[in-house]
Amino acid sequence: MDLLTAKISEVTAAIRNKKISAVEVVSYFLARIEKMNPRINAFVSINDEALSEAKKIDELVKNNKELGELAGIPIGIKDMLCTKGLKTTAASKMLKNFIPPYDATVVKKLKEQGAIIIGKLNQDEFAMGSSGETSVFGPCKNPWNEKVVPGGSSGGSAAAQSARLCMATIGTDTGGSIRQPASFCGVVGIKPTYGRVSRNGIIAFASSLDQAGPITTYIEDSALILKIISGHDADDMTTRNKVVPEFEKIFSSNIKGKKFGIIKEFASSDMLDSCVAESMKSAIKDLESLGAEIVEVSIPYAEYAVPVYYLIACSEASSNLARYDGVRYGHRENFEDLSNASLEEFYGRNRAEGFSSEVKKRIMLGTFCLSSGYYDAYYTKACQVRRLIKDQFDEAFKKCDVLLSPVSTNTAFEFGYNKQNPLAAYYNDIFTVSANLAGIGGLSVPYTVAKNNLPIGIQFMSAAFNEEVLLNFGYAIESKNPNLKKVIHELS
Amino acid sequence: MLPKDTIDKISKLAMLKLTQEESISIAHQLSNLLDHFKKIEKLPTENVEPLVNLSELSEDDFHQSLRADLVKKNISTEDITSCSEHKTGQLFTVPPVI
Repeated sequence: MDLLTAKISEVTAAIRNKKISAVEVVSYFLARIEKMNPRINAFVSINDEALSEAKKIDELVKNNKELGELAGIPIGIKDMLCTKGLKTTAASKMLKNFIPPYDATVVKKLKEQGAIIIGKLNQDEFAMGSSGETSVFGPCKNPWNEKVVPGGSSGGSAAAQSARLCMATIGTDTGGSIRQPASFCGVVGIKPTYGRVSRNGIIAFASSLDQAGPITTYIEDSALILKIISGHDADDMTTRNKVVPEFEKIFSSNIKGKKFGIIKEFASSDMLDSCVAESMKSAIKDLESLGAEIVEVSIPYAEYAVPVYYLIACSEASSNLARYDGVRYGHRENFEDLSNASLEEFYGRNRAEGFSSEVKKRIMLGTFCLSSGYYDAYYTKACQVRRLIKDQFDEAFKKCDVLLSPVSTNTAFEFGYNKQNPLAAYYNDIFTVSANLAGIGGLSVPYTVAKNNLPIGIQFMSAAFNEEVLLNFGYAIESKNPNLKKVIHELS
Repeated sequence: MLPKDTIDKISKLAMLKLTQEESISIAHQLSNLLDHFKKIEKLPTENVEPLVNLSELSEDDFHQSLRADLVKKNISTEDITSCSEHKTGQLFTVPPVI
């Protein structure tokens, strides 16, 4: 069995049939991590218990006991999700020594199905960024070309998957943080509908936008992981009581007669790099050749999504990050004499030293938006426009099954670009933030490789709680592009 | 550019003890962003209910999601205090506040 190219279902079947042991699978990926991680810096910590957990799976196999759907499958977890007994840092100095006393619901569900948490993955600090450069562990690199970023904030998750350092990874997506790095690294990434996946135990950035989702090599693998991590959770009252479909069993590559919408305002965007524009034209032709029908839709307020997103995300972040005060956990400054420090000084110094400049900037922006005198003009206004954006997306889905759009304005960019072009960096998210604002599902699927030898993904968005149709369209594209996977594997 | 006293007020509210250099840099960056984000000002939003949380959208689901507000002990005090290096027994050490 070639673990470099195998699907999850093939590996679990092989473990069940004793053709390979879980220990062999985990050892294979640990060896890849040891060999490749020094180059790309995707993993920030490794689970020392991974092999002994794999041994337990092998014992179950030996004794013909019941196995979970992910028995023996090594999965990497973004460092935003709490893992019991395993350091969880949000890639911040603030949490550099934090060892959670409990598992996030997503992690718990993966473990219940026999997954082996192989390690924790690099990211932008507190998921605030689109390049992975704000990590306290130093930047993660793109396996396709180490001079360019892997994207962000789930850069480590996408890079690790692209380099096949594990069988699947989990990322989080507040404004595109799963989909954009998936596109930059040539892998599949899903942002589920808001309320599909529990946020319990995920370090909060912007609570009304955050969702966790899978990053995988194949659509089928994403479908399986999505099913396992989805569902209502009593510990997250924003999760919905919806039946979770058996995503991995129901999807097909047949999109004949289905409608895909093109957002007029996105198609005419002058920010689009020519190679991304070309890939969109080609994807439209491909979908039409597969029997799907193109529909033009208009979402005039989509052009306001970036300001609305940043005003809301930063406001929520300023509130969520207020918990980091250095009292019960997190970074505490070295006070020579604690008895002389005022409480204000104590909090102020712990926070100023624990957060990096990007996080401080966003906390300041959010605090400003929520402060008396500015609240209505910025926060309330942004929430009003958010409703209008959501209404326009709801209208669009009356005319089509999915919306097709680019994931990002360009392919992966060089390190340092965001710092020199802060506003352009924010606008890199223009095609992804709307799905978070509207609470709908989004999928990034590898589509082609640009002349600069970097991958380009395309994005499908669906109405809320309709991820099946995303997987359907994604699988249609994946099936039409069988060679793309081969290219990814050869590079890694 | 945002005036210094506004930045001072915001950093106090945010409990961030910024250096003078940081304050100037943040004032500059925030002003640029806010200038740009101002473009939403002109949009007609009269009588539009702000969308604060997507949960509000399906009332039935929302009510089904509620659980009994009962105290349950699922993490021990020992586990909770293990997250801090600054403690005395099972108590966190903090500056005197009285």
